[in-house]
Amino acid sequence: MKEMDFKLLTLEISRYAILVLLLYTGLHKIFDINFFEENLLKSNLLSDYTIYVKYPLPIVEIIICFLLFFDKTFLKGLYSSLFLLLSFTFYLIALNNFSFFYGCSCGGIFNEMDYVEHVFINIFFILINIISIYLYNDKYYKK
Amino acid sequence: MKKTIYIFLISILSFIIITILVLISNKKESLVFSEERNIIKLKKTTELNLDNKYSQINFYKDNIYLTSWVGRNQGKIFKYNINLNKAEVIKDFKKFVKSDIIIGEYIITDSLIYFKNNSNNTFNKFNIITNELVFSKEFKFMIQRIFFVNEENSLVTTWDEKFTPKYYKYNLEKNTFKDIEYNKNILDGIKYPGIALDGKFSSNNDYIFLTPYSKNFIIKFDHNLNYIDTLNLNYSLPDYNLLYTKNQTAVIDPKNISPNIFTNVDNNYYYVLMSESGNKDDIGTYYIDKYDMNNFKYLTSFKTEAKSIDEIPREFRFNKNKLFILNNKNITIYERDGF
Repeated sequence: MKEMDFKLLTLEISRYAILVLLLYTGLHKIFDINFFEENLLKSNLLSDYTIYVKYPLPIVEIIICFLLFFDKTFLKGLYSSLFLLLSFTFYLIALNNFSFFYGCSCGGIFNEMDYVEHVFINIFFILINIISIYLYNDKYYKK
Repeated sequence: MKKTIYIFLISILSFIIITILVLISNKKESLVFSEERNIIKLKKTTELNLDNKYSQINFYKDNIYLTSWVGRNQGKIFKYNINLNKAEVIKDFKKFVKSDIIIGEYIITDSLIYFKNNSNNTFNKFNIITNELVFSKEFKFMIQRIFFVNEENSLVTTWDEKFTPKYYKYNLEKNTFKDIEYNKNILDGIKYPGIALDGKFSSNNDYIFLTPYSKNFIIKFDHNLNYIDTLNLNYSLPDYNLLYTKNQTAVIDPKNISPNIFTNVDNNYYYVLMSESGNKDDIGTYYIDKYDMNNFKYLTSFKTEAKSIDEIPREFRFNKNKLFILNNKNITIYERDGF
């Protein structure tokens, strides 16, 4: 029982950590959409696709927040956030090897980080995301 | 097991998507050098360590002077002490200038230091002997570069609202500007020429040269600040471009190529530090190309490899028979050996 409580606690902390991360970066992009657009235009990889990323990306981040928030869709939210975090980390690594502009468009404090710090933060969240997927069990959320 | 398969598939999918993005987006056109480079080797003699990032390396009476655009070192002029192997502050202008200070171009004489403060768009004169700021003249409009000749005559550059370059004779004493006429045909086919032709000044006894960062020619002026003509560098480049956000903020197109980083010139030769990739911040190969000043023919190149960001050459100077290359962590010195 105690073990289950510990797993559930870990899972819930991870859930809200990922949720807060995506909510923060998603809202920051929406509230400062011009800054986000500027960053996309400066990116060697995304400047041609700015229009396709500018609005959809923050909306997808907010949708994933909802998926994470509701018990019924929590697991889907974890898979979705893992996909987003992995994609963004691969993007950062690719961009850093193509140009000096390392391309973070997350907004807020993440824009202040250098490339290595940012990649480490992403890896940290990817790890807790994967751990959460393994810890997830339907029985925790059955009413 | 099912979860492991899902995680694996998600990892593969995200990797494939970014790989496709890299493959379809990596369309940066390349710089094409017109002939095979004639590489010469120079003997490295020593490295002068730097504790920080420095810029604007200058020589005055065989001493190395530097400034910095980083953190607390902003607003200071440094002199390199070879005995102690470190750059020492000789003047901290923050004590004399009330606003923020980022030193742009600066000129050192026995008794004076002139410097442009990029932070408040002023040109300043400091008396070293009396230790006082003699004046701080605010330009009437934003200027990009200044080539200081004397207090009556300096060459300044800017651009207008249509991105057309403007060159002026600037009288520092009177704070007045006089238009320099130039051949507007040099702007043909250049988008946003004011930005595309922004660059570095260098000079010899006869001429002043403005080498744009992003174009393959040099603009030549005489010391009376009259436009003379242009000289072609030995490579071709794709068009320079700007991108605009929805609210019309201009952003430099990441696909632009800006290979010219720094220049030096003497009475016989012109030298330009270039990035092979066309980007001054790429890890990779850099060249100092040498041209004959008489016919402006390409002669030879010194090649250097940057294996990390800190090794990227930012500036270079010649002093006596030595070549000094500044990067983020040191000043590397080579025997000039006829170069």
